[in-house]
Amino acid sequence: MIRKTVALVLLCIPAILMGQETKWSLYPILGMDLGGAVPFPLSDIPHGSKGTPRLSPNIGIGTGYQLTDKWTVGAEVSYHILAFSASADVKSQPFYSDDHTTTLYFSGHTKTDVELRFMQFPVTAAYAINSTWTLTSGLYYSGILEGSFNTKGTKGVTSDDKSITDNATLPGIASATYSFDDNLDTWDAGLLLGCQYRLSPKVAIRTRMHFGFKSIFKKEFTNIDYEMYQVRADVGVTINLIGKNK
Amino acid sequence: MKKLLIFTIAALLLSACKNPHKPENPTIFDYSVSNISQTTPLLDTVVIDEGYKAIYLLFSNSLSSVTFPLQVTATFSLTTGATSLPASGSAITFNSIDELSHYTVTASDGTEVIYTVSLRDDQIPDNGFEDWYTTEGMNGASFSEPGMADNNTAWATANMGTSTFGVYCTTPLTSDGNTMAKITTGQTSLVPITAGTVFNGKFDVNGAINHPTDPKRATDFGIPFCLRPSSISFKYTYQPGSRYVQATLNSPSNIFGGFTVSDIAGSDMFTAYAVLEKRTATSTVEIARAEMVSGDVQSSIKNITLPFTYTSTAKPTHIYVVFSSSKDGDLWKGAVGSTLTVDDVVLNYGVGK
Repeated sequence: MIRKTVALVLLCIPAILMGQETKWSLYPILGMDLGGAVPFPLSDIPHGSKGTPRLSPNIGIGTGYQLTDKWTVGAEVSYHILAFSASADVKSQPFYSDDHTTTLYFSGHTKTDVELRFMQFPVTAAYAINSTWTLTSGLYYSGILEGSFNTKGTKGVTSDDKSITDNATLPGIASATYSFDDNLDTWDAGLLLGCQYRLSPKVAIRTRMHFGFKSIFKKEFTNIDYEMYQVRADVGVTINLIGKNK
Repeated sequence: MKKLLIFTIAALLLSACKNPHKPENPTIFDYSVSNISQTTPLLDTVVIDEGYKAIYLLFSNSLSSVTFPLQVTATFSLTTGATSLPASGSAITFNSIDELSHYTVTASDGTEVIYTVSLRDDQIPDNGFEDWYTTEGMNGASFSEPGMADNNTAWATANMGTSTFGVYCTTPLTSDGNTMAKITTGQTSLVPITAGTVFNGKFDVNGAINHPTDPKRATDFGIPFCLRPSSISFKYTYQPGSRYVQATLNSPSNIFGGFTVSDIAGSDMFTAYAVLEKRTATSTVEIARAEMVSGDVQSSIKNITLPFTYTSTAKPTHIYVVFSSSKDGDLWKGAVGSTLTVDDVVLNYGVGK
């Protein structure tokens, strides 16, 4: 499905561009992603937790249509990898059975490794502030191609009795491993905000922030009591093959 | 701006080129006993269990008549650059059959590992279940396990796996100065049937955590053993629980998906079996087995002998004896409250070993 969409976009864009050369642009994108998934509500972020995003390359292609001297609209398709690790010392972090009749609590050290590979389809509106700087906003949809989400608790205490984990003497000997791969949703959507700096009429560098509107987990996943939302920055270079930067 | 971009990309590429230091693994190999301070012990085989950094000296006779201390001198090789204390060729001393001796082996990078050395005779250690040591469970509370200490016991239970819930299905039971193993089928808030068990080997807590829907993955059966007993004897009592049930995972791969519990016909049964195996790096062959399954109520202590049925003339390398209060407990089938007590596990020998 995604391959067909990409092929269709690649085939159609040059044909469109042929007719309206001055209004349209076509540009490949090369960039790097850096980001993670943020627990919500934010109060669920354990005190002292550390996140380590992993820099990952992205690649894509985009097209723009200049509406006025200042405004341009665009659409892109790009492939991304979002990877990060997070570690935290948690106290009585609950994990619920599917029917919520049993709760296991864990106090100790946790390390989470996440990787999502996805195709992103943003639509954007860009406003040129001057001859070099442009502000961009837009919405995106992502199709998650594959993902992994693994949490490992170590040096802890685990119990179905919260009073035990509340008062646990750490470090303990308990380990706990949870794989949430099957609970990751297959899509994401959100808002993007960014800016672009024109290096030359053909080449520009840009940075964007992406904020997911929905949890990365499936709706029916209720074993943990918080949701996680994508927050990602990307820095990239675009090279106009047809048309030029405004 | 272009220079900044190039610098940024270069920095990012360089940051990906990490060279993490991997600690060395100092290893003892070619361990050979050159002298034993007494002539009574008949050394048969030396086994190095590299996974647990343990060396077993397997004797073909009983060491009950040996007067301790016993000194053993061995020569061995080490990985390049490693040193050992005591060194190869030095004597190590055992003050009792239950005492461990140690080699501290240090790699050239300073990585230090400790090898334990155990004496094993023609019986399974701690076969009377008189000694229990205390260890810490996953809930931070202490509980008892059979044996003298964690690093030299021959027995294991599933208590660590259920310690999260404060449930311990295998416990010591002392009566008139004699201690035996009490093995009970229980339940936790997550799992409706948790069969009690005691067995030779190790409880693999990582196996239990990573494969919670497959209880067998939590057991690492077997201890080094090289003899051919003719039978195994033990004392036991048994009382099956009143409600015999089959618990079925609602989602086969998800322990947190809950169980459906159904009453089934019949009554719970315990199992006791002993297996001799010949293990190599590439294969495991069962050599002999002794086995019983019974659901009969046995209120008073009964002594029973089970003959080994041999299917091979090979010399074994491992033995494991397994007792479980519900024979199909690994399939979530049993009765809560089924109780098996076990004592005095003895290996019997015929004409030859």
